[in-house]
Amino acid sequence: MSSPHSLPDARDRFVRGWFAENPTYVQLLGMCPTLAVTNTLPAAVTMAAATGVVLLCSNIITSLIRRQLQPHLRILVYTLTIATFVTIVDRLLAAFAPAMSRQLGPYVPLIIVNCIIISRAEACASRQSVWTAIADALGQSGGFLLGLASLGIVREILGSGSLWGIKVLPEKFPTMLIFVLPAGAFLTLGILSGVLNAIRMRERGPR
Amino acid sequence: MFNPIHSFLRQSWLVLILASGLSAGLAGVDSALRDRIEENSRQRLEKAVLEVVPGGSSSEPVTIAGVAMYRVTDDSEALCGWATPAEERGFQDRIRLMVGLSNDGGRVTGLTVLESSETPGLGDRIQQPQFRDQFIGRSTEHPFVRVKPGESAAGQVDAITGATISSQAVINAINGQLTLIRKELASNPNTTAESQP
Repeated sequence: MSSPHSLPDARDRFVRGWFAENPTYVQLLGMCPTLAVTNTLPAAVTMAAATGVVLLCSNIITSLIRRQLQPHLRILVYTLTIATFVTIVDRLLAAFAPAMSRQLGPYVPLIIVNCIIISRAEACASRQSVWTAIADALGQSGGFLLGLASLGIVREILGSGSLWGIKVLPEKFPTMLIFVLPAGAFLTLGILSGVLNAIRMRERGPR
Repeated sequence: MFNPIHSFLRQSWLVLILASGLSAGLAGVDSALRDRIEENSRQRLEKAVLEVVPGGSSSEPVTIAGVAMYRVTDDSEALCGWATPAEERGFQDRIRLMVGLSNDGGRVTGLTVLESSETPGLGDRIQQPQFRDQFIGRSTEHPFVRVKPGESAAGQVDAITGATISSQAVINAINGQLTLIRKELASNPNTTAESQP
């Protein structure tokens, strides 16, 4: 661990993203896609991958220009960079995965306002080297993938009785429609966050 | 001396360069992918057209009575039906359909949903065969009428429980499209409607 006055190094940034600073369960960032597109696992993984690519590109650009960046113009520059890469990812999906692109609908363009990306630009990429920024992007993307995939797995199994489109529950087993609907996303997120918090508090021991 | 142009450039040169560079990148990506994206949606439309007209193997877009249609022909290039896109406001967003019609427009030969954002599990059951099959083979002489589930007779369509609006939207879309083109097709059964740009 680094001292409180210096920023974490690349290895530290990478490790933190997965669990200690998990975007979904610890920072509670990027809730819009987390709730909206996790009713099936493939959609959840595609969304996490798309966000990951944009985060990586945004972190690299932001880190490269961090010494030239005028502080009062930084949000403008972040948004410009992020919007460009989101549009590229959106077009790539439309060209090579049209069915998934239609399923995700407006939630791909909405990555532009995903606060994970802008918060990483502000917290890490605008202060640290490219390598640290890349490690940070990979760690945070990994954490986001874990978050979205865990919701996707629970919701697809309970809501549709399948996983990655393959039936896993017997035909007789009742599927719960609510887990496909937005309400199911809130329930699943709440319960999973609660369980993870309980585990974390137990690990930390009594106060 | 304070020079506003210098001050502007000193502050914004990075934004200007980035904006130009990123725009150029976007333009490049767009020109590289545009054809492929258009081809994707064209293929999807073509697939839907052939799906709703059984026996069809190729289609060409035509305009009949001002309505965009697809003239569907079989392997021997004989007319085997028509397909027409229909749309209507659903519960969430517009529902876009592809409706297949017989040569004289007198029967519905198929129905498929191109686009719908209806509620999963309720309204989006308009995509399931149980609902769509109700229209297939039906006469188009009279408009379709929605009834409660399980009560349908000739010309009537069982609504989906919990999705009255979505069911009605599909019916309205089809009825609306039929009023526009049914007479044209009926009066000229083997029409080889002139292609228009």
